[in-house]
Amino acid sequence: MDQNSKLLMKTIDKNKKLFYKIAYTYMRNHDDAEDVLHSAYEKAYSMHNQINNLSKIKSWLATIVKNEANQVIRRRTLSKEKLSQMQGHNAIDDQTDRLVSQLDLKSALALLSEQDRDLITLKYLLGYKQREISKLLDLPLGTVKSKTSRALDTLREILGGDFNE
Amino acid sequence: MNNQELEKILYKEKKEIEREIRAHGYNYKKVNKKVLALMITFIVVLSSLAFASVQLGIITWFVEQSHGYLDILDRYPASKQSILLKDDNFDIEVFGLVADEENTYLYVDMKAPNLFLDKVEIINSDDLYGDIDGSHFDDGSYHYRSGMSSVLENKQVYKFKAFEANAGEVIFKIHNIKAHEGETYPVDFEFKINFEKLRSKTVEIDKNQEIHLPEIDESLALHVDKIKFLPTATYVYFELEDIEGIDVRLGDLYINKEKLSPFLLGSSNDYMAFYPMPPQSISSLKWEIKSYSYRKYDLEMVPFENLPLTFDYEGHPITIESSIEDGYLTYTITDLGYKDRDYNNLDLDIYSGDVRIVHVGEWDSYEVNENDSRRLNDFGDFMMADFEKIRTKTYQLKSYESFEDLKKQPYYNEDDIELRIRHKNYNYNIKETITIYRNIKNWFKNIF
Repeated sequence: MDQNSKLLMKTIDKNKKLFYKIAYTYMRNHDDAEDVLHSAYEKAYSMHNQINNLSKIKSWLATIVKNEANQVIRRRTLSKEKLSQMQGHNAIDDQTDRLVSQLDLKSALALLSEQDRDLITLKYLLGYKQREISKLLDLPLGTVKSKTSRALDTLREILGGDFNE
Repeated sequence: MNNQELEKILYKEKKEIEREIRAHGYNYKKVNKKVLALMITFIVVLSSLAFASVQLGIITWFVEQSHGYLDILDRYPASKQSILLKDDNFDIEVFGLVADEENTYLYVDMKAPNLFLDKVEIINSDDLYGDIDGSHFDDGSYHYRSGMSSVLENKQVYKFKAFEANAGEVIFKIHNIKAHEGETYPVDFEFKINFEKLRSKTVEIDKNQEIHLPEIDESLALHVDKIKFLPTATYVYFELEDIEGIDVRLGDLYINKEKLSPFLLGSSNDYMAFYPMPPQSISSLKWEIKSYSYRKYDLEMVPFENLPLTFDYEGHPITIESSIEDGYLTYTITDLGYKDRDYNNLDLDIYSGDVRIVHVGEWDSYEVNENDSRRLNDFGDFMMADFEKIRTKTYQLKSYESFEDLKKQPYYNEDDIELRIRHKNYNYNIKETITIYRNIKNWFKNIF
């Protein structure tokens, strides 16, 4: 067994709970979270020979999990828009109205851009430090700080003043 | 609502997510009873001769997984099929379907690398599942979701929730084939397969075993409820006593000294899923305990006015310093006696009066080794630290607001600041095997 394979196996085994938590936090559903993890692990395995920095394997895997989750969220959003268009509605407005009227944090997060969702989810829902987020998203630390602040503003605007905890 | 209030809402959401994850086991049982048609693709790496030559580089569990799924089909030859699906571009073979009361596995040979089924519809889903939970569809058009597959080899297993019907005919329709690189190819393959659910056996164990954690002199109960032996999997249902602050990590499970091989996914808080294992009898059932973490509440409040300050904490010094970093007030707390501590890390907060002025539950930390090298504590540090060599540990807590904004806040009082040490966190590796049961004879003869 090559070194990359060993490390990938160990990393997944050792961090199963962490990766599940990332997937679950994005998806908020056990089945979806497992689906995301499965895709992520398969993808990680298919690329394990390309890992060139073994010390970063854990964050690399976390990024794959996060990206897979975003992909599912994006696909669903697009599918809903497509469905609404087929039904003759303005999908985005429709969806926005529906989600905002629900005043649901999860729905509001789904309306953020992918990067804003990552910034909020990683920092506030998963508790990562900004330095870690900077590595995960491959953004300068200063950019993470400023963009997180703007993402928070956007989320607050989506939720509106009458958000009920 | 201002940003600080929103952060509090997000913090509550974080706690709610953690609660959901903890409670998930029970929720998942309920979900299982629903007639969901969630489909997950499982890659099966089949050990062809060509593949055998590159096996050395394969991760163990991928190999186990592939062999495990193949063994299932081989064990039930009547479940083998050969349905050829062909058009101008693709030549696919469906080579089996195994169904029982928990799972349905569809075996597909793509006959070419890097391809997988993207959208699979069960035409007669109403007959097989009854009401379908719409949230489990990608686009609301009754296409079952299929996960992505890296498709290292041509043969794959697609996993569906169990059908409600015990026997009958399932009509599949494949709408798309997707390449691993991302291209999607529309196809129009429809085919029928007869199925009959294979028998399974549930063995009630109903045994408690106490797990003693000597380092903290605590015990918690592991209750093994039952084992469900299915053709598609073995499920061990258990309940591990939930004690605040203690997280025990279970390791390998052995039946008759044979280690069960867990599915990479599919387990829950209240059951673990293993590759199918149909023993003729159980002479023993043993479970390894691998490690545990322990979070001890230990509030210590250290008021301070002038910094730097050194104070004694449990016989060893800790220093507090402050600085302005990027406009934010930053407290640097260094545990100078870390090498003599028994804990792994502390949970820290800084308060002004009754208001926390640093980010909730967030700090940076690093360790300094005896050769003065510094090791950051972040999740990118895959390699385990050599704890013997760690000399000091430093935590950095940043103010929630910039220092300029903080100074304007009514609750901020420079003369009323305190460090709060809330918890001590411990990690212990243990290698203990506990015996759950012995000598259950002849319960399993001719189960399957």
